[in-house]
Amino acid sequence: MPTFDGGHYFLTVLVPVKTDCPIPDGPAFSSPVHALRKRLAQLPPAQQTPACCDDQSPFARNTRNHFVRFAIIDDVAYNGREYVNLLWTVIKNIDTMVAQPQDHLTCPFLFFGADFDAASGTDAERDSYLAALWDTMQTELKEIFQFCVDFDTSVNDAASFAKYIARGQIETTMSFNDYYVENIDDTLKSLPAWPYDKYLIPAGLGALLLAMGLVVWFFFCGGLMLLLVGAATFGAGIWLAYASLMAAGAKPFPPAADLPTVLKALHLQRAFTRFAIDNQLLAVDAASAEQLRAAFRDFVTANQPDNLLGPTQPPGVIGI
Amino acid sequence: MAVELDLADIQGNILSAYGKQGFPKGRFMLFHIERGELARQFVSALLPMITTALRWPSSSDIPTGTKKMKRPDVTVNIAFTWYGLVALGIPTRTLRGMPDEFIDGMTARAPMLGDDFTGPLWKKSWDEVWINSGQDHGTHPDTVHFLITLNAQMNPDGSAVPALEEKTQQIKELVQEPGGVRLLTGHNRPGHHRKRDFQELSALLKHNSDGTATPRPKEHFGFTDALGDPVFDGQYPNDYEKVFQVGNGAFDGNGNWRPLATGEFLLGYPDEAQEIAGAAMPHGFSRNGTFMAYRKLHQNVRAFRKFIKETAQSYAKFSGIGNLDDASEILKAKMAGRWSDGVPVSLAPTVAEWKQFNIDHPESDPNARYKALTDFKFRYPKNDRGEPDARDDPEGTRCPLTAHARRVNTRDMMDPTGGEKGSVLNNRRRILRRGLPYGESPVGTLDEDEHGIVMLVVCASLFRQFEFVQQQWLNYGNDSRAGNDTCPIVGNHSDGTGEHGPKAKFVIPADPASGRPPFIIEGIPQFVETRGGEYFFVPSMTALRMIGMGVVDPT
Repeated sequence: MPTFDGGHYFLTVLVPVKTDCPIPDGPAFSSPVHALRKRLAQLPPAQQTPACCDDQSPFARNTRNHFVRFAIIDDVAYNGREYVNLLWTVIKNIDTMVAQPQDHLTCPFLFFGADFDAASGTDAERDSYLAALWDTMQTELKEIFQFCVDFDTSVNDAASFAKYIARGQIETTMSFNDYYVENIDDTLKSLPAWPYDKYLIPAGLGALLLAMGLVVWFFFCGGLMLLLVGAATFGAGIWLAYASLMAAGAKPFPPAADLPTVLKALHLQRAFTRFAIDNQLLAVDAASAEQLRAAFRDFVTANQPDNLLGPTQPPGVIGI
Repeated sequence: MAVELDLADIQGNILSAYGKQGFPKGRFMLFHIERGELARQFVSALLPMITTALRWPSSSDIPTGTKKMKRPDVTVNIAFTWYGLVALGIPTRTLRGMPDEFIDGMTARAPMLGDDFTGPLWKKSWDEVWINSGQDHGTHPDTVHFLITLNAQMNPDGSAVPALEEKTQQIKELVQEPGGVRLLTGHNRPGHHRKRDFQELSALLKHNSDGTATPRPKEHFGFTDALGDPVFDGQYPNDYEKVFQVGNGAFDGNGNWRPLATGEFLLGYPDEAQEIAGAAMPHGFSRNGTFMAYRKLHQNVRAFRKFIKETAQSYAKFSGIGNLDDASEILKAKMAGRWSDGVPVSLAPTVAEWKQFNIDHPESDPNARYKALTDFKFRYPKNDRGEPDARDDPEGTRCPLTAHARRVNTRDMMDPTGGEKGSVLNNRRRILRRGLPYGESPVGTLDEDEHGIVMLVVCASLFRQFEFVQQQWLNYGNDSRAGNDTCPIVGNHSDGTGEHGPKAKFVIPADPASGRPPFIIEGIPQFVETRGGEYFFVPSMTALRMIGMGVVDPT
């Protein structure tokens, strides 16, 4: 279930862009997709480096966003002519001089991909995130989505925005989780093993019956029932094993890290490094050991390690 | 089937580090081309002087073939910038086949290399000869077009053999006739009253009581240098390759070493991705050639010595080491990844083990010692009884992951599964290091004094190999699991006041089993500063002939 994995909802949305052209855009006339592309280019990025910029991404106004991306899909890519075997073209009398048809989109699409914290993969979780977006950056969202089909006529509040986005949602088939696990082997070992015996023994038994049935059929021209039962058991065993594997693959990983936890961890990491540097020459004797304990108490009081709400690092910045 | 290189077609400075092979003196000269057709004649006239990779009899007894080459007194090699190739009249199709970074040149790549670390006026601190090079899209009359490198043998008293000056004069005569080229001067700081004609270089010397001098394999901070140069297929005859590949080749994941692919260092051969990378056409122009980054790196020797002395005091207090000299040596070793005499810290992590290593591998047997200095890994599997190997060092408790030598050659680390098999990530990012130190650094020397190293980095892809190492492994710490920490010796070090974040730091990890915390060094001064440099193409002898004849034909 890649749309929801590891406590993250991976939202993938395609929204059709208007094609009525030209439209007024400031002092000039333009196409909706051109005007949209300009709006996206003007959207400030997150403050990823100290030298980056003064503005801040509007997506940093909430603490559920991990990654968000807009992109414009103008058309599907043309991969060239479909290969046809030369002998086949002769047999089928295909005229290779005739151009093959090409697929094109009827309009450009705005791609909207988001990776955000969610308790589950339900529609309610998605809608609550979209409502949070609307509440924190509706000005920017209107600037962007005004060039998309039906937005003007169907969106006027958080609920209708969520409904509008849901209309364009497609299944996320491969998600990119932004926090890698420390040790792949340990993570894999922590997962329950697939019960081979439960599925492979019936399939193996079915295969045995099928083989016996074939032998009886071949040498004695009989045993039809054995053959059928063997084939059915074997087929059912394989199908159940396949279904079980697919079902296991669809189960989401347990929640890994939500954004408030990550931000708090970054803050603590930096603050504790400072603490370690400032106090590393202590604890060489009993008196300085007490000094170190006192300093650590002050550190805990000041930084409240268990309190996710603060002190912490704000979203959208690199905290070097 | 091993790669058989046509040694007569390859410039000798690619396969050999002359500095440690009996040529401890050097002069590097830079030129501007004023008339392409005359400059092509200059190249043709220089061609017979160029030193190829053909072997002459040497102390390592590597076979030389039936005809014995005479060992030259001075080696001569040449390399061109992209603007130099333009000035020579190389066809557009060949020029546009060159890699982006080579076309850009080193100045344009400064943000990636970290050379602009000091701010917008960063290039003002470069030597005068480099300051205007490449300006105005290469039309500036001081743009560097080509480089000639001379490496010379040494007289017993430590001076260069007379042939070095003779060869310099021969080249200056070629500048007069056929001409078409101009020697660029100013291999020193801007405003100097006497602009130097060339970059003078010399190995650091040990002056003996009898008035003689012996070259030392050291750089100005006191470390033994150039132990970890990669070994690639075809570089040595087979039997020798098997010896030299250990520790300096590629780790195959099963406990064996093999030579790196030739295509990592020479164009026209399969590389570590098992493909022949695209190169400028025609094939004969690129094949047996390679690229080279020229880096004049100034060393703030006084700052380094002062820092080590002061930090050793707090480290001695922290670790309970009574002897300040030992604390200094440990600090330097943890920063470099090798003790000052080259012994790998991962093999001898304590002073006692270091001393024992030197007893076990004395300098009186240089071949055995060299093998001991290079034959090591960072990961060692458990033995048959499931007991861990004491040398296994995934967390850097013996040799820090952020130590210089461990950053630039990760050896069998970087296994994407966390195991001990090594990774192509390392094998695709090896560089050959040529070049020599310049200047002197006696006791009491100042940071302003002229001393450092001119490093010539040779590799088939400056982007994939040199620039990656510089940007990701030296000026960043993610692959060393150290966040933004840069290399403690050659990395850029923030002083905490500008836009580069908090003060630079370096962590000496401690074994968690010891119950001791790691030691964190904060506020590392800038030890190394770039004073000039450029990207060069080192053509084969075939390509040089094509250039001279004006027959580079990419069709």
